[in-house]
Amino acid sequence: MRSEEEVSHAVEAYADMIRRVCFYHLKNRADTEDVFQNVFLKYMLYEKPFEDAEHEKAWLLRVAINSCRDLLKSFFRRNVVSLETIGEIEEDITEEHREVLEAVLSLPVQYKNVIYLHYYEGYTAAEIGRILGKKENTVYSLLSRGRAMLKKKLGGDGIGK
Amino acid sequence: MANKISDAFDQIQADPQLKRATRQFLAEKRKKRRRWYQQPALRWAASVCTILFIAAGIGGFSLVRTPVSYVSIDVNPSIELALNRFDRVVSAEAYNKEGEDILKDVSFDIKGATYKEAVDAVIRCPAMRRYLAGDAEIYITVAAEQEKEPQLKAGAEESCRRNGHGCRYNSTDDASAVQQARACGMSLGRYFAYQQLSQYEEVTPDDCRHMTMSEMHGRTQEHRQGEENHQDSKSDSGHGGSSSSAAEPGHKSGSGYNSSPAPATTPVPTSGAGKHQQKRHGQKHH
Repeated sequence: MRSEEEVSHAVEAYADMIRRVCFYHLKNRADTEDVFQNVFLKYMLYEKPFEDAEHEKAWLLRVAINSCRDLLKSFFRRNVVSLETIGEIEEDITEEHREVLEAVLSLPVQYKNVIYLHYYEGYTAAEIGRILGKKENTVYSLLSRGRAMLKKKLGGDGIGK
Repeated sequence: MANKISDAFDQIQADPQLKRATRQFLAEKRKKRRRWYQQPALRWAASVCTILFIAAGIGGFSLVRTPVSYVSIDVNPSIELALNRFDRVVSAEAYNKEGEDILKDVSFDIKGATYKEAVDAVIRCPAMRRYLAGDAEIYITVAAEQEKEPQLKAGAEESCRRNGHGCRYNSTDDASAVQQARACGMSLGRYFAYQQLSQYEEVTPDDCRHMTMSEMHGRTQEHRQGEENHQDSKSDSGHGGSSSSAAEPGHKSGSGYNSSPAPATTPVPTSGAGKHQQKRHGQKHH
């Protein structure tokens, strides 16, 4: 079992990241709390040491994504976009940001993962493949198709790579 | 777009409340987990301990049940006791009909008893009285390791004395002696006597099986005395030496019914006779 110190440090360092993952998977606060607890509990009980911070981060991402997936599966939730999601969290998100977030949220879940991991966390397709357990080529297709969908939704302003 | 997505998601942060709640949850979980028996290390230790315990049990069991020494009691009835490492009786066997009768009476008492108690029980058995009439001697033969032997000897002799009987004691530390005796269908004691006698006479195990101990011993003594006399007149120790070493497989100290283990190659009749004189309780006619 990891020390209190270690766990506290991890919570501080990665809470935002986990929160984001929960954000684009889940619909409400309660589920988010569940996933949070689950992820960090697993972290606390994980005996093997991490090779480095990157390893640790990737591990946590994977656990968080799987946790969200399991939660969704267990309740037969349909992947319906809920505007309440954003409303629930932040009141002071600008209109522009809100738009982007909603667009991402509206994507099917497998796209959301790769979009987030690539565009926010900055992982390469190969790294994403490792985290999600998918082939690199699959990730590439998902990324390109996801990007296309977003472009359509957001009206194609200054789309990068 | 990368920037847009980046910026948009930057807005999403975990609020302090969420972090606090999570930390609290984990703290509680940490306390609960301290249930010692859930720790994998302890579980492993527990399994190892169990295995060791079982192994020790099996080891101990075989330790207690494995015969290490043998005590043969022969008057006429031939009884052989097998003792474990702690000098307790593991099993008892009778080698003739008389022995069987005795054993029938005492077997309940002697299983698991110390060898002293067992010897006592055998000697005191009512059925034995017939054989112990007069000054009959009890022949005790012991096969045991060198360290154990003196103690067993002392105990056995004491038993005999306590019950008011003379004792003829013999011993060997050769484990194969017991097997050889068994092969001839005799108890250890009788086998010894047969060995003695066969030095001087042409006897088969069958013959000896039916002779009484005192008979065998008597005859052996006669021969010995004869030799002594012969030797005195000749004063030739080499002659004595060769006759004593004939046909003595596995004999270390059984060169005569005396208490000190004498090596087989020493001139037995002379030294044996001397000691023999001191020990004799029974009547032997020359």
